Amino acid sequence: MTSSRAGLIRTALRVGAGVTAAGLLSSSSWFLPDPAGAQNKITVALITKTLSNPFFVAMGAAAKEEAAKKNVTLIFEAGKYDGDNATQMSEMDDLVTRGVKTIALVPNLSAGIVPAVKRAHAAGVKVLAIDTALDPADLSDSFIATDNLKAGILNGKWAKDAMGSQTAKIALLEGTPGGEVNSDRMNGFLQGFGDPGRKLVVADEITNGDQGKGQTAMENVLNAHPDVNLVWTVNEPAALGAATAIKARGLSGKIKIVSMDGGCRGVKGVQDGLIDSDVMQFPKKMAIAAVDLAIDIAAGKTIPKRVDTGELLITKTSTEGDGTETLDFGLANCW
Amino acid sequence: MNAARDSARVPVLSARGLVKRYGHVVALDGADFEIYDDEIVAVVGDNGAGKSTLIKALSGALIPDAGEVRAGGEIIHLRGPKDARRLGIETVYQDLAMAPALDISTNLFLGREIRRPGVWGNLFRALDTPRMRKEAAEHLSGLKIGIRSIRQSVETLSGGQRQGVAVARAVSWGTRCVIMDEPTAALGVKETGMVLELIRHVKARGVPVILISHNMPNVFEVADRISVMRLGKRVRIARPGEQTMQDVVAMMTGASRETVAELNTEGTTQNA
Amino acid sequence: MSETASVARPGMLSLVGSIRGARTLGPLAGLVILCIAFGVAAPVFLTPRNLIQIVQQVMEVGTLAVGQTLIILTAGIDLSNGAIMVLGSIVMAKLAVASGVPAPLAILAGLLVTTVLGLCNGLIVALFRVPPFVATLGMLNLAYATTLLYSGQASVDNLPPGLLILDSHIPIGSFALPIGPLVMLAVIAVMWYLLNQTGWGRHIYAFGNNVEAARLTGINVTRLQISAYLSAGIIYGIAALLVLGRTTVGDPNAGQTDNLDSITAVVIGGTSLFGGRGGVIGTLIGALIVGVLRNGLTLVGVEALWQTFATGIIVIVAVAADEATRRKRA
Repeated sequence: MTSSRAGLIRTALRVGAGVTAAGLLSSSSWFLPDPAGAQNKITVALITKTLSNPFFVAMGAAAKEEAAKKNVTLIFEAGKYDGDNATQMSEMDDLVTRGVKTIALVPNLSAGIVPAVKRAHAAGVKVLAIDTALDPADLSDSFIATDNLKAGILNGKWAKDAMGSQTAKIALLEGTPGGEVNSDRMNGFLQGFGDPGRKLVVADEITNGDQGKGQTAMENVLNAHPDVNLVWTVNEPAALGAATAIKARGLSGKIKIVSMDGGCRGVKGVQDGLIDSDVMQFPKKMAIAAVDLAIDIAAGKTIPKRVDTGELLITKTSTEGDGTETLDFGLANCW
Repeated sequence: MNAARDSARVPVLSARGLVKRYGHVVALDGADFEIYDDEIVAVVGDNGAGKSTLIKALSGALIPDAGEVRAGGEIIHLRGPKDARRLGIETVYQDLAMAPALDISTNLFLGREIRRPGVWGNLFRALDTPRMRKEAAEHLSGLKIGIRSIRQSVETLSGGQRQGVAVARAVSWGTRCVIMDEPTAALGVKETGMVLELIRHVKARGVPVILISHNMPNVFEVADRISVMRLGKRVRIARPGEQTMQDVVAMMTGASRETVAELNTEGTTQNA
Repeated sequence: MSETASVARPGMLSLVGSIRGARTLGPLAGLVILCIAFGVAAPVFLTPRNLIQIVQQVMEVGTLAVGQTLIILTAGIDLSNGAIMVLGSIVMAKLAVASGVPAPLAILAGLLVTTVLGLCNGLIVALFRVPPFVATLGMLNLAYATTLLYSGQASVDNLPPGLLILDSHIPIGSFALPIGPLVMLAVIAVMWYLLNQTGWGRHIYAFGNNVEAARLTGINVTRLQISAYLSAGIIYGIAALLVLGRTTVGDPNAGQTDNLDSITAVVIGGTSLFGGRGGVIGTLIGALIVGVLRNGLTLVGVEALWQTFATGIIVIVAVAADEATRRKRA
């Protein structure tokens, strides 16, 4: 019995210390925007898929900046891993309890988050889907994202022009199959490329958007089809992985790589000649749009159902035009 | 206890000609043993003399290659510890075989728990904890083992008290005999005294005790007979009143030259 | 507490005794302190709606943690519980949606799968003597790969209402009490009973505390160890149904951190990783501590990163407290 009492006291003291520490830290506004509910300031929450993906890091930073500029409180949360629906659900419920009136969400599981979205709506909270749509898509009060289909088409059109009279032998390096982002980008590409489209595809691999897997996939493709001359990649990490495999085979410059995302690593890849065309998307714009919409919502204005944050194709030599921009623009606006 | 009386009674547990080989090593080389219902028999011998092997054969922990074991005169075949327990032969192991985090009555009834009567016990298999605690307390007080509370966990007990609980467990189930393997090895002087007293209590309750020990003073204090093992056989039966400790040590190490004939004239039984 | 009183109402008094037992008082005090602190910092924390939501948020890991407690009490560990649960949920979902199996049968099939996988864990550990860490690590990968293959890496939508039964509510006056948390509490209650009121439970504790002692007293330790993993498998199946009710989709990517989260709940609750000490009441408290911490910190406005940080600190504190009291005993 004495050992239990000792344990009790010890644990109680330590937990108390921990909570006090958390409390003291929380009273410093450094990383805590606004304890115990906002009074006069508008509060918006941003829940991304994870904290570690640079896409979401850029989003979060831009959101905080815009929030500071517009005197809005921003709460930034995320799931623990890519695909973590459970944490996002809990976060969402808690933010509703807290009294946040607008929640911007990059859903890890478009259909799986729906119960929480419905609960938010029941409490009068508006939900904005960012980058990835909900399922059903029109459940969100607004959908702020790149038009991935349009982006794919830009890639396809450019590729068709770039191939000229050469017969294309296409390899597809997909992301995570079944995902809407993956499907739209890929189908857009094939659509933009035009006839005969799918019939020119000789290889189709899965990379989950990972650079290492992209490299492995490309090596496998080159083993089976050494005459591939055009590679569509779902995103820049996959493209950079493919470029490494191509370089190792000594085939640099002989195979065109088209990609998408607009991250600074990828844009640099275009500059260095590793990636031939890259369609940029603008997570920072998405974040800013979310904050601004939250302000509109608080003011009682109606908000648009769809906000297209833009997709612009860049190459080493591209110029400003319809759907295109210069490399310099790319370097200045990458994330 | 004299020769005439011995030859008329049937031993509670006995063994004849036990042989056990491990490869080229002969652990038991025709070993004999017997114990009657009112005595404490100590088994002594140097390392490798075959004490542990003999005990394992008697408690069902191993099956001998040759020889016979008898319970109350009837031949028995012990295929495992469960068979021995079923015959009322209980062993108190050197490390006590108890779960220290669990309380006294749980350890006492481990593997043999009492269920509550009726639906609760039969359908829902609920345990009758109060009854087990009560009986455990009775067993302990019957052996004059003092503890603070029956709800104590075994690890809060002293070495002697733990030994007491282990012995109480063996005695509560053991109706034929109790085997104790080095019970005082890890204990201090006072606790050793407690345990020796405990062994006498067990005998007083009519349960004979087989005691393995290296500790000659302890052996001479409690044992009625001493079975001296050497090179896998019993070479001598000694009695504390008739031999000295030095004599017994000499027997253990082979310094004495007594023959089998002399064993016969001293009245130990040959064939039951 | 007289003997007769004990005989008359042993259940209630033993439950109180369980809580009074050394290991759960500390975590309980911790939980109470956290609730008071958050209640003061963010009054909305103590509203019934929020408190029930917390229990709903922990019920997936909490239920898994009951199975984990059982296994850790045997001095084992289970890294595969989340993966087994998800496979169970995908089996239930796909059978009902893609193969048109009636919901009750689909549920049984999923439960069967999780139970069989639990049994496999038990057989590998008990019969082939593979250390539990290694065996369940292998099972984790096996289950996860099977889930991805069977689901085609896609989530399963449009579940029939029969699979969502654990999403229902019981109306109490104007209030709707969700049955998910009640199911978790029922699982905890049953396991508490088994561990504290039956011989099997005592054997489990003895096994974890001193396996040789258990063996020498005639307990069939092989069968006992297998039964622990098998029982855990059944519990993982119940967790699978809970998850389906909560998200209304079959998600092959769910539960990836559940194995470690369930271990966290068990450890914070005071059960020793060395086996033989602790129990499910502690695990319930541990799971609630994690849930309360996360919920409270969100309400107060602390970012996700720091919430994870705080949880990590609490785990270390809990284990250190266990160590300190262990040394005191020895």
